[in-house]
Amino acid sequence: MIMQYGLRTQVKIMNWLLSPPSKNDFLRLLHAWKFWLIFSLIGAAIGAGIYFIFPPDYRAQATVVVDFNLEESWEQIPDRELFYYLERESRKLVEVAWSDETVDAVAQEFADLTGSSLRQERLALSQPQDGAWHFYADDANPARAEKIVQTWVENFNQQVQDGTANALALNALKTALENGDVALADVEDDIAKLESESLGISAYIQSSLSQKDNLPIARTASLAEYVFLGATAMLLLSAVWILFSGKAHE
Amino acid sequence: MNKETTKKTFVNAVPSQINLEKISRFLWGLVLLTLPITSFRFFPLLGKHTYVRPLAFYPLALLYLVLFLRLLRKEIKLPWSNALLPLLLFFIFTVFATARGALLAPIPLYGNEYWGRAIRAFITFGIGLSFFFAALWMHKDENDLRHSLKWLYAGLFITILWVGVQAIALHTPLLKKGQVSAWQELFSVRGLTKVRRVSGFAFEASWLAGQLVTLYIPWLFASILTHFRVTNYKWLEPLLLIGALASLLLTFSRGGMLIALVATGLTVLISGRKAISRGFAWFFNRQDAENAKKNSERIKEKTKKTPLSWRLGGSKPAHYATRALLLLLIIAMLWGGVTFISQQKYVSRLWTVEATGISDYFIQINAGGRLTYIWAAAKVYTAHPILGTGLGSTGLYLFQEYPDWAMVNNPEVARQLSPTTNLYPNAKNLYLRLLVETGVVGFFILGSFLFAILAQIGIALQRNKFLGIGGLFSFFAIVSYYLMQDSFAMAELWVNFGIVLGITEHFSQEIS
Repeated sequence: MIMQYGLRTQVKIMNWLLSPPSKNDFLRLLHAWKFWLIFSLIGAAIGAGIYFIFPPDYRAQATVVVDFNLEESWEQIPDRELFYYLERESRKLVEVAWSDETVDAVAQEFADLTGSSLRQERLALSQPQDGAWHFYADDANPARAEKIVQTWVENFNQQVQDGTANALALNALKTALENGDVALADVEDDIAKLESESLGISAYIQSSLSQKDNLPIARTASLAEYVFLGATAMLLLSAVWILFSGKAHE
Repeated sequence: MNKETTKKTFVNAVPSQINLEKISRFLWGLVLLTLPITSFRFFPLLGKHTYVRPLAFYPLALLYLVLFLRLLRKEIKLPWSNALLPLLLFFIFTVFATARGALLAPIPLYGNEYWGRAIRAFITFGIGLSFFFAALWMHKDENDLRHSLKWLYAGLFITILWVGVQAIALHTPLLKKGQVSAWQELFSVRGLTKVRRVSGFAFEASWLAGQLVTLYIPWLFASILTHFRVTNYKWLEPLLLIGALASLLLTFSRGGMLIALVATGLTVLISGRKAISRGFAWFFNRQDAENAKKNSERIKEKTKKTPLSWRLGGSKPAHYATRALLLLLIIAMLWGGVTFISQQKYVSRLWTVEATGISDYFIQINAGGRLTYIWAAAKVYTAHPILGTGLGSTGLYLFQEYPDWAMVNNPEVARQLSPTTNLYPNAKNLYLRLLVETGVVGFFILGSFLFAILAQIGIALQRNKFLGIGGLFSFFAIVSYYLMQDSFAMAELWVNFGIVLGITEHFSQEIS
């Protein structure tokens, strides 16, 4: 008796699993419009509730203007492919933005943050663009988000300016050596020191802080997005429930 | 005025003597005829960087108007196929995954915001679906298929002619490339490309190759295997097939040629073995035991009636000559095609480069960019495996995941990463794009849609060999083509599926 019942259940399950989709399923879904309309509204309300109970972080955005001074640097570059040069120099600057010196300086300002948590969770850098580079920091506290990103861009800007000054000094020494204005023995130590501190960036790069105070701050996700997610999640669940339940094939 | 009265007024606005069925068939024909023009110049409201702008969209919009009028007149019903449910579920899931992806709050890329890309992706999905549903709606039997094939072949014929003009301009001094390019720019957003590859009416050579292998060659191949002819001109399909294959060679599209080989091989393996063995039997005058038993009497009769029989048994030199000529023709075509292709550096680089490693090999054969996108997309997927990042958002995540090897000697990638560019990258592989944007759940829902289509193709193979083989070839070509592109908007990826599903749905209705 029990075995027969088990067999019948097994057959039923297999029939259900292997049954093809049919027009009845589709009509059943369409007919249930009141059901999923109501449940979408409930989903939207749940989404709004989650937004207020577990609000998303704030995101502050700062901007640094980066100028490669192509007109001046171009003559110095043997590589005739402009985009190669720009891509390479951009990558170096991106590395400066994420370097230990730059990121750790931010971590030192905030006791609860480490370099790795900043890199993985808090900081974001937009794809380098011609001119403005956008830097972002996320935090539950808007003032703190602003402070984090301010510290980051200030350090980045300082690093870049130090790097270009270093490269400029190195170039000047090399030119003086080539012209015979100085002897190698006199400047050997200076060159070694400058090279050890070099960031490998071009001497022609200029950077300046464009937006540092009263930064634009917004939630990483809006209430509307939570409401929409709640509604669609419920819509999806309703559709799955209606399609996978019932006796559509009878 | 109540709703019912408004509806009646709207329907009555079209005089009843106007045959909307004929108009809808004509408009559908125009859709198929204009499909080759993928990037029509005059498309309002689209940015200059939108290249998928099919001319066929205009007659398609008119077609939908007429179809809805017919629906209101109760001349037709809404289209349906059993494969639609997984597609509907995929759509609902995609909306959900996109809503959820917004909470990941990706950083904008070159001014591209998350929701902007999502809406754009849904619009392109809608464009593809509009072709699919129109094809589904316009097909219920073999007559509809014949009607569609005539228009499709007309479009292909014009394309082959245009390819010929382009080939003359690119490979001979008889026509100036600039002149042909200017002609092309009269209707397309792009003229001839810098390289010596024909593009037909499409935006670029690989798009033309995609159209040929996914839209036209499936039906032509099926017609050769099954002797199905659309017109009384028996030579039409073989001639068009030769033209289509020659055009494919002239595109130098490595992916297109590979897809053609894979789809042909698999289709023959599954459904064309009998046709091939029939061909061999005819060629060598060999009858297998079974056929010999079944057909011996019939053949004897035919031999008596037909003095110029195709059988080789007699001493008819003309028959030997026919076979020898055919064999020579096939060898000459194969030899010519292979020789021509191997002379093109773009293709011959595949086996002539000396690479230091696998990534270097891909870079040297001009596929470094593609490998980079696939690599990066796979890494993005591993970070968001279940629900993905939301439809249209792959580009917002790709740059951060580019591998180090891609940065060296790879001009395509260097251009993208240069700050002067504003290019929005994509995965160039629909499967990976789906994994990234809708996670493993969305990927498998769409997979179930593809399996449902395959099931319908299986039904078609039992009921109508031509439809089944055409559908099967299309299926293999399209699922292979998805490995090389990631757009939902391309009409050729939807039309054949719509045709097969429309007709097989009516098979099921006939049975029930």
